[in-house]
Amino acid sequence: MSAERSVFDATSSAATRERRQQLGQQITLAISSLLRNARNYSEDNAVFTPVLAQIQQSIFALLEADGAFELELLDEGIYLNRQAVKFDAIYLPLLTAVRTDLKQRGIGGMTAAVAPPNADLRQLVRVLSPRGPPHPGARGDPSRPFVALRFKLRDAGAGEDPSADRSARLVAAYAHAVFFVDHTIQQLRVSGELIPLWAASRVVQDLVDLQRDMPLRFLQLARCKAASEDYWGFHAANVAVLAISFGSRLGLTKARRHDLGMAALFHDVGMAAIPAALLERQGKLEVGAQRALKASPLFAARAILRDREVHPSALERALAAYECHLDLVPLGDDPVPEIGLGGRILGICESYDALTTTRPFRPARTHQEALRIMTTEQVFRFDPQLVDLLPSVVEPLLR
Amino acid sequence: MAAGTITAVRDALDSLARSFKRVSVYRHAPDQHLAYLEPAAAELRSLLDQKTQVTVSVEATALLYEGEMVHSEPARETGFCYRLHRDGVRTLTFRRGVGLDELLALAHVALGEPQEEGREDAVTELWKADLKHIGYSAGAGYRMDESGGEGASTSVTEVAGRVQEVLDRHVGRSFVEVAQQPVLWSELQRAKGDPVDYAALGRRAAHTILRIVEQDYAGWDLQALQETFWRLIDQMLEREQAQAIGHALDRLRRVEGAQVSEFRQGLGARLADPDRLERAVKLAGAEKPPLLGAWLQLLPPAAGPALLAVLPLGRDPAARLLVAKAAVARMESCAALLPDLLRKGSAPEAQAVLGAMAPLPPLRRAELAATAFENQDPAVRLEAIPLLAADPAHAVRSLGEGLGAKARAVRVAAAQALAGCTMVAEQAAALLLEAMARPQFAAGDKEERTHFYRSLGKLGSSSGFSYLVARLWQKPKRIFGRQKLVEEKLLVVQGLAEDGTGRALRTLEDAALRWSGLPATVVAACKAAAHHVRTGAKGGKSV
Repeated sequence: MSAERSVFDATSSAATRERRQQLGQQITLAISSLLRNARNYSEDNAVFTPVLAQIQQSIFALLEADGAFELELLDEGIYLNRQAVKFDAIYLPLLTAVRTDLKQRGIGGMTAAVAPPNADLRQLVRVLSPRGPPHPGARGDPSRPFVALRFKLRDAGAGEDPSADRSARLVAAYAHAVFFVDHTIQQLRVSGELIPLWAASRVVQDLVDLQRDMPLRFLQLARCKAASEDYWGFHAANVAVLAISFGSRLGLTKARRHDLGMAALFHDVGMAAIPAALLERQGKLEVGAQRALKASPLFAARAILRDREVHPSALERALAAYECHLDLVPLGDDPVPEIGLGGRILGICESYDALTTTRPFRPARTHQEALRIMTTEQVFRFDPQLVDLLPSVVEPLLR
Repeated sequence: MAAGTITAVRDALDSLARSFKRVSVYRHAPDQHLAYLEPAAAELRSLLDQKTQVTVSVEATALLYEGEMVHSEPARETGFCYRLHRDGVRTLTFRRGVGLDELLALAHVALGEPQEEGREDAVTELWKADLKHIGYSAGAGYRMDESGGEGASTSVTEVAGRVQEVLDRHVGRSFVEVAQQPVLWSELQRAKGDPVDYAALGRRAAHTILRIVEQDYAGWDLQALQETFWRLIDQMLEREQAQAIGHALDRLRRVEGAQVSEFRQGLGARLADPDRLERAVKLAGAEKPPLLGAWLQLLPPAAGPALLAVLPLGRDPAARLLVAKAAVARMESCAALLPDLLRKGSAPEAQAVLGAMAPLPPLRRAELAATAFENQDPAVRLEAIPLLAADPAHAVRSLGEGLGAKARAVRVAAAQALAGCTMVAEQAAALLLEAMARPQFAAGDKEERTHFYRSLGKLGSSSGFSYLVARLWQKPKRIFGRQKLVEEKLLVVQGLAEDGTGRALRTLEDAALRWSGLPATVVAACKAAAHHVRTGAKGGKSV
């Protein structure tokens, strides 16, 4: 089943048209208010808060109902999701001013495929203020681009660029994955409110879908590296990218690739149990600290297994989070640990990303070096069949 | 919109909702589910012959088509719309070509029945189901702002900026995307490398939980992990994965750690749940490590009654014996039930309990065996006799009746058991003599009578000895009774040989003299028996 991106055929009833009409009026008048106030106030000013909230809610409502938000400000009229929006005559001067202002900047409308965050809307104020760029790009100010909002540029031609939209979704999904992991680890530390699992699941669904559509571009995401303080979010998102790509190359079903992506996002949540100071410590760690670090995979498994869910996907997630940290070598008299496919793939991806990232205790290796280390010095740690396939999977990163 | 189309959509969706309801009501008959969906599929096919696709909006209690309500239902979890809407599905699109399998998959997603194993959200389930002819749209966005706090959007924007920068650097104008990358694994490699095996998943998950507990990392999640553990056990029971359960419980039995005792205790109470225990007993077979052994060992002391309740369900005598041993080990909780079970229970139950009584003190064992001896089934009575004999006082109280039992085997066993009651030899001998005096005794076969005579001799009682001596020297009254009397004298000789005392030896030696007047065969038997007793050979006492 594919998620519908356009469902206009379902929503042409009188009630839906009326609702769209109402939302179109609200958004257009809110933009008019933005343009007016942006001349006098900076984007952080509280004067914008209610207007931006209204725009955000309206976009939410449209995305929820239609699955899309597309506002067109054309000379012949204003269209919201392809429906002409009608206004009372009293508003015509305002509309003309909005259209003229945006036209001067080369903007013919706005779109969003996913809900825009507050920062996007504040950024919108800045772009539409005199301080903004005279001719913004599709993502607003190129120095501070929108995450979810897009301008429809008048000189961009009538044809839409689906790859640009997919690329924006790719960036948004990855950024949300990073945020999800960082936030989850942070909240686990303080027993705070967690982001619901379904949100992460949607992110991973999008990552899996986008990997299928643009596998090479998708893999390039693994080049995004964190500064030391936000390592875990980027690391987990990169492991998800690598693992989904790996799963795809192995021909796993999309459900299994989703399991891999989810497990990747959770594989280091056990770090929440480790004091932050310990994680940033440089040099050799004492025995107690080493023991604490070694326990983190069990904490990750605990954080997942305590949810009392025992369906296969939940178990895959918990086991992969734990097993990916195990080496395929016997410990003392114990047999070689049993590790599922998820754990074996994640183990490889996890090591690869860790090696190619700068850590407090060592610099980042190049992709070629990481590959060499993993296939020579550390080869005993990994599934020999899978690690042999790693060069084929990450080959686009070596170019 | 033509009213006819709306009516057709309404009919099709109402039919679909009815089919879903049937699937929900008869969810334990999965082989019927496709048949339940056939009427709805026919209606949908007929509708989709007119229109290539039909999209309906999903509300919490209704489906809308072109703004018109085409299906409504009360807000309940087993409804068509409730779970879909709650989890964010906003529209459903049925396309021409939709099949029964796809409708069934949709039904499984839509029906919000409680599932012990938990489940993913409906959007994820629909996405994973990957249905070709049923599309959906979900509430847009990831909505992390809602629980991620005010800073969420700023963080996401910052990250997005950095990501975009990286992509811009590495994905330039010359970047060429590929449509499809070659797959590196064959179908066979995938099947081997990624088997769909809940047993392995469940077993590994159970071991991981135990590792967390063993290493004292469970913290305040101990109870939650305990619940996950028993849910795993439930799932594996549901899927009849005896070996995986055996592995998990065997490990649970063996782990050590500060929190283990509490963990095990909580689990034990769950394992003692009658339904769960019943399923385990039915499932247990020859797996290794044995499921039943580990399971039973983890049960709490109060599980005795539950164990007795499942006793008859054991697959074979060995399984029943295990259950019975577990019950006997929890005697405190089921002491009041055991006598009744032994007295009135079926032979397999009672026999299992009798077989499991070895650890009990002899007196308690004999008491229980006495009640088992009241059981109508000869097999049970037979099995109770040796236990009963362990306490002579109980033996003489109960076994007298056994000597006259209908079943020959019981009579013989009772006689043999009484032979061991030397502490109350006179009483036991009296019982034997009373039985031997009955006319039925004389009509019994030679082997049975042999047992009685030998038992009487073995007791070494005065009355028994006197009786044997008297019978040895008894003269025939009639000519026709001679052969029968010889036969009896030979049995008496065996009895005296079993007595094995000096007085018995002397009697045998006297009888072995040529002029004793006894028949030659008896004299020969007495000689052999005397030698036997003198040399202390098997069956006799060294004199």
